[in-house]
Amino acid sequence: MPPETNNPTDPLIDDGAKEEWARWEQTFRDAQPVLPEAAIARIESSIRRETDRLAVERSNRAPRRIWLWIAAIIAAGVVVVSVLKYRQSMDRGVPVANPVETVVRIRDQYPLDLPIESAPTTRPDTGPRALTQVVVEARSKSVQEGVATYGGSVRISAGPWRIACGRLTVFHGAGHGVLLSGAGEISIHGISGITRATADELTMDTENGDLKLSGHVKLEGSPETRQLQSCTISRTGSLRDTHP
Amino acid sequence: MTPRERQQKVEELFRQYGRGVGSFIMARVGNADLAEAITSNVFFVVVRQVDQCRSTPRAWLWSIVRSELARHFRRHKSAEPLSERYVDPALAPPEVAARNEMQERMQSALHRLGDEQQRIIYLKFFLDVPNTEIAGELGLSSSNIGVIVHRAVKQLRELMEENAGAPDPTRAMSNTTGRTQK
Repeated sequence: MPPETNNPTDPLIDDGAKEEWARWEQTFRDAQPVLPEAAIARIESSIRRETDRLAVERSNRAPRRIWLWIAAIIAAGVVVVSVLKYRQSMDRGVPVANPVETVVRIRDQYPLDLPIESAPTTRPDTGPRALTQVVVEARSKSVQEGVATYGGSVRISAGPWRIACGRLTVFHGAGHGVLLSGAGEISIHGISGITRATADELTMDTENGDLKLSGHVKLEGSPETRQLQSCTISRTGSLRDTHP
Repeated sequence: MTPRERQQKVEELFRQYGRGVGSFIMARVGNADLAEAITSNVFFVVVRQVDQCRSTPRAWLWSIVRSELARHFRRHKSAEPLSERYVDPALAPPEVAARNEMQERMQSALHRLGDEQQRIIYLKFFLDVPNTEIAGELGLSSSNIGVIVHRAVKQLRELMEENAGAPDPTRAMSNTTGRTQK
């Protein structure tokens, strides 16, 4: 039988060489060492033992893995619930026992604040003066594309007003001032002639100092309490654009 | 894979290739006890990792055989080669002597063969795989596999004839990577 390794198209291998190769291959095969049958049987039984041992080990490991998964799912659930509760409390502006407050001075964001302060005569004398400083205290702050958002028990000090609200967004207006937009349980103190004002939404333009309130507006005064849909309060405390 | 399926697959692999693998390992290490231990290790790996057998079983088995042999030679780099061999009681003393000499030459030559050539010899002589299947396993075309196999056998034969005078197993033992030493 010619050896399988020989390529019949190979010119170097003639019939005599093929036979010689076949003989050599046969000698090689005959000389190949062979593991004794006893050794083969021992290996086979040790493989079977190893397979059984592994099956037992894996079946023992499976419940432990299930418990680990359950623990991981519970831990993840606790984390998610905590985050949701925290976000909810931030949205409501509910004060916590020991709030970590960050004080953000809006003043730093006025690029032309100093010239306005140093040269107030450039402003018309009759017109309202721009607020030179607004202090915002909040538990959290995030800035995205130049718009700052404060959350969690926001406290604003702007001129004579002390404002509390749940959320506040600060936009940079076209002029030198900024526009403050607040929402969530708004409460205002320091308005002339009004003990306390509450509303759903507020907008304040620091350029002219007007405070616009909307939603369920309630103005608590000493002689009477007024309820409106919206109104505008000037820096001097005068009320206009009222919608009952 | 269930434990039952795992056991069936491992037993099937052992029935099909166990003897060939054991024979090749014995040809490489030249000692029946060592060959038995290494073959057991090879199939322990098979038992543990049979789920990972995604390529052809022969190719996967070869990778395990190669790494187990490499591990053995790393550990026993400086050890003296063992000369105890399994003796077939049916053979006469002169035949035993000739066979032992041939096996020593085979061991030395296999150590000196390149990785791919070793694989070809392992497939062709120890697992009795036909050339067409060797071509498929090595990713070679069936038209030139005959020449490639012939070259591997030719080199093995040359190395064995080279060693005919004085086999040097210690030099061969140091070749753990299976690279050809010229």
